[in-house]
Amino acid sequence: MSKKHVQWLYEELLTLVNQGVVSAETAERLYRHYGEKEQYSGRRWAVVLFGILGAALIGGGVILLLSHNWDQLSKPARTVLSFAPLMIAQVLAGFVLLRRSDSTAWRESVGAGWALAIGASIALVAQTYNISGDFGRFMLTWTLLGLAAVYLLQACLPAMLYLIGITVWTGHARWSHAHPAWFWLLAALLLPYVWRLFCKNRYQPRMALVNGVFAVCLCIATGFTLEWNTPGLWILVYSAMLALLYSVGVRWFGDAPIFSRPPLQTVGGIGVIVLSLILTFEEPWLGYMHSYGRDLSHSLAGSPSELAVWVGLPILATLLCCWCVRHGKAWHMIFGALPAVATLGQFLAGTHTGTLAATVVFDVYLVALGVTTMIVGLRSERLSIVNIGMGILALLIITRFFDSELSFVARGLAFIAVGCAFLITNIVLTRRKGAVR
Amino acid sequence: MKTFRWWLVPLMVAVVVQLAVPAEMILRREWTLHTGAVFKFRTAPVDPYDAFRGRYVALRFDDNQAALPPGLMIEHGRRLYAPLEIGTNGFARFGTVSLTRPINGPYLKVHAWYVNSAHGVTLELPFDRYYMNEKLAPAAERAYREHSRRGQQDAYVTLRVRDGFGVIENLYVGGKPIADFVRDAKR
Repeated sequence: MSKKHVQWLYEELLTLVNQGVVSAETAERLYRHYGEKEQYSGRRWAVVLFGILGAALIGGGVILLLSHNWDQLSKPARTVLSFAPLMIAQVLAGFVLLRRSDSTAWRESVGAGWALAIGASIALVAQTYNISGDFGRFMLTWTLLGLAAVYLLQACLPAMLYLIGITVWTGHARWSHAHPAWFWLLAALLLPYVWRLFCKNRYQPRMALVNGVFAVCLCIATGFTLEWNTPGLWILVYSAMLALLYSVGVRWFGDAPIFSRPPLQTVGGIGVIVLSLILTFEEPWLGYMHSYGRDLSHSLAGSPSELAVWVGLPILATLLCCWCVRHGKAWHMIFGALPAVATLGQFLAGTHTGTLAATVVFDVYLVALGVTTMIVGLRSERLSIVNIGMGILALLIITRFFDSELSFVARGLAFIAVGCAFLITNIVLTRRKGAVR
Repeated sequence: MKTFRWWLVPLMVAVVVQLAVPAEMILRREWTLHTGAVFKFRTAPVDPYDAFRGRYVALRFDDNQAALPPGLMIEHGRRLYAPLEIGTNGFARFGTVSLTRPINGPYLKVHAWYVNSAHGVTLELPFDRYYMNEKLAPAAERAYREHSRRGQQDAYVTLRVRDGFGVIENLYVGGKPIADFVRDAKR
């Protein structure tokens, strides 16, 4: 079959899997039969990526050129310059909608240039008239005006820039007079676009890109939106949110072909591991322990939004976790169990048992996480999953060996043992796979 | 048959709104620069950097204090109206702030930075930077530092004020616009 036909087949397969016509396994078998997907669609995506990169560099270059502050230019000339990049981008957007609406490369690169041109235009006016350095207002105006590029061109790069922009604004709002909680409303403005992508084909690379940026921005912005009035609330909120991201990834994107692993699951999974590792240390629990019983009920009663988050997020995470179990994806439950483990840790840290019990709970949880992942990987003979499981265990062992008072000999032997386990497992599995082939 | 272009109306709306934002920023300031009253504020220029908007000299206003009316309790960030007066030295100073727009006389819309005492408040002024060419801005700060070392701390900005809205007109050091001052200092 010619490359062109295979490329067509691969593009169709995504839609067919999405519509349930072909199962993910069948698609996977077809991919294996015809070879790596990248070799067929790589060139097309390279054109898109270089188009985006080119537009982003031109847009960034225009901003930098204007930042030089050409004081030789008169005010009218600067005014014309303020509008020029924006008007060029708008005309290009019109051209794309009229003549190139079916070209992803055109839509993405013009979308990126348009979003950056808006920023350049406002920045130059601010420079000409010495407008005060209200960075939050500047970012908010820029990102909101950029939404037009997202919806009109259906381009993912302006959407990603929007998400990054509102996250930066939320961070700024945290330290100024503004209200960072507006982040949720601003993020919701992107929902119709995301929903459209999801309905059209949830396994397309653009959905994965937007999801990836969304997951990272969500993790950062949540910290800014918390009022930090309630001691220890962040532990439960973050554990529930990361478990939720992971479960959403498994629930709605879990059947994706292997080459486009869902980023929500990846970010959620990495987050679960990192947060659990942090909570194996005593420090995060210390401030919490001192004020738990005294402040928790009082703080939550005084802050309805935090109470809603405190109750709502873990319930949602638990519901999705139950769904995974009911649909034969039980092993994912171990990642979704983080909110329950965090609640147990909080309970123990707040009682007389102190912080040690809470850290031990997370040590045990990480061991369970690593071992379960390893077993799943070994059963399905997937080396990458086995390595993730071993990686979790190795991380835990290395961390404990650094903060415990063991001799250098003991530490050295433990490190060698972990290294040997990695090597042997990888060699055995690779050989077994080779023998099967 | 002509195809219906659904995107035409939203594109037109986006174009108009996106152009209207910088246009409003420009027109409002041009109007104030042409019709507003002039005030001089003492300041000290310091050279920092903005990733998007370029180099500028940060303005540190000497007189950003105002009196509070007796019994008025305010918190950080509260919107205030600060009446403008001209002192005996010819420079602007703030009168007693209020929560409502003054009926007579020039005033500025400001925010409370922090309350100093029961009678005074430090104001957060809505102008804190004067943009300059990327080479001139550091030179301006150096020249000003040299100038002030000789005991002459005579930097000030002129501001046009109308209906509570202020626009910086120029920054002066040693009685000259800053660009001229830097050029003279380089010679």
